[in-house]
Amino acid sequence: MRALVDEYFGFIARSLRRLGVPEFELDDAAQQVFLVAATKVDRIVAGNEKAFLFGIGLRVASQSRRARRRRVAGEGAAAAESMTSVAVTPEQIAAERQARALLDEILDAMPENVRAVFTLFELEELTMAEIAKLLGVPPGSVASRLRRGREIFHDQAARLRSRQGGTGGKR
Amino acid sequence: MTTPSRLSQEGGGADSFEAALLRSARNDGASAKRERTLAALAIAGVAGSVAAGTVAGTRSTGAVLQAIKSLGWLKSVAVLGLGLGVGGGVVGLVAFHHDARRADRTSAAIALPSVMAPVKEPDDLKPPPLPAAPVSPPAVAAAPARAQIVGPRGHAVKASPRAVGSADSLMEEASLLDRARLLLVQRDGAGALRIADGYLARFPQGRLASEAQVIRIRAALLTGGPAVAAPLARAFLRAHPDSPHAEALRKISQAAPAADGPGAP
Repeated sequence: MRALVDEYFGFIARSLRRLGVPEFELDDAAQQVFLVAATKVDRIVAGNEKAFLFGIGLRVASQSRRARRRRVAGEGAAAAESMTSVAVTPEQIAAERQARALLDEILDAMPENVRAVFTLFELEELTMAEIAKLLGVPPGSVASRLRRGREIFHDQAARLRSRQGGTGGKR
Repeated sequence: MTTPSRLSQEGGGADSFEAALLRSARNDGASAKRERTLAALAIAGVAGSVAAGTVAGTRSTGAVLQAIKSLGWLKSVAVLGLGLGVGGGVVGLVAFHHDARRADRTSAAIALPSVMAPVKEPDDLKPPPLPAAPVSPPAVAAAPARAQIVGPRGHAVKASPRAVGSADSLMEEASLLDRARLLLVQRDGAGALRIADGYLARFPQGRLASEAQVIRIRAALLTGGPAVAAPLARAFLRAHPDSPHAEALRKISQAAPAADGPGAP
C-alpha cells in the first residue's frame, strides 16, 4: 500500500479537490481512498492501480459533496455563499482563494461524470485516451462529456461575471 | 483519438477570466499530507509492515502489496500488523512516547516493549506538545491553572502524575485515542467524538488530552461541518498557536466565518 500511496497520493489529492472535496477535508478524504483501496487490494489489477484509486476517489468525493449539501441545507447556505458573493472582475480574481472558490462553484454545476472528465482533461491535463482508460468508458463518451463540461464552464463563468457586472476578457 | 487543446492554452478558448479560474486550481491537493494517509493505514492495521515502513522511515515496495495479496486481507492484518493492537499501538505509543519525552525527559523512561524502541515518529504523528484545554471557547477562557512544566520548546506541558507514573494508563490512553482516530478515518465522526469525550472525562489530566481535543475538532467537522468545528479550532489555536496541528486546524478555522471575536486566528 505504501508504494501505491507514494505513487498516486498527489494525483488522488488533486483529483479529490477538483471533484469537490473542500480543502479542509482533503486529508481525511485521501486517507479514506487508500483505506478503502487497502480493503480491496485483491481486486487491483496490475497496471490499473490509478484507475482503481480514482474510482474510489469518485465515490469518496461524491459522499463528501452529499454530506456537505446536507449540512448546508441544515445551516443555510450563508457560509458557502460568502465565498462567492463578492465582486467578480478579472482584476479582483487575482486573489487566488477567491478564484478557486469560483471555480468550485462552476464545477459544482457539472454532473459528476462530466466534472470528472473536465477536470482530468483541463486541470490534470490527461489525454482523452488516458481519461477513457481511467474511467473505463468509450472515447466517444469522454469527448461528449468534455464538450458538455466546456459548455457548462463557459456558461457558468459568464453567469458569475454578469452577476457582478464584471468585464471579463473576450475569447 | 485526437486530443483538443486545453482551454487554458493559447487559443484554447478561455478568456482571461476563465483562464484565471483554471489557473487557480494549479496548487490543488498540495496541502494534503501523504504521511497522514500512511499513518492512517498503519492505525487501521492494514499491515504492520506499512506501519513499520512509515514510522521507521524505510521505503517498502510492491512487496507489501504482494504480501497482502498472497495472504489475503484478514490474514495480512493478523500476520503483518496484528491489527489495531500493533499497527495502531505503534502509532499511539510512539505518540505517547514522544509526548512523554517532551513532558519530562528524565521521568518518562517508561519501559516500552522492545518493538517500539527503534521506531521513529513521522512529523504528522506528533501530538501537540501542549496540555489539554477544553475546546469550547468559553471553556478555554475559563481553563483552570494547572501544575505545568515547560517542555523543550518552551511550551507548557502538563505534569500528570498518572501519565508519568503508569505505563498501563498511558497504554490505555493511547489505545483509546487510536480507536477514535480509526473512527475518524472511517468518517464515523459521532463515534470518534464519543471516544474522545470519554477520554477527556476519564483522563482529565491525560497526557494525550490535547490530541483528544484535536480528534474532537475533526470529529465535529465530520458531524457538524465547518460551522461547528471552526469555532472549536479557533479556540484551540488561541490556546495552542504553535501546536503541530495548527496548520490543519487553521484550515478548519478558516472554513467558516469567525463569530467568536477579533482574536480569532
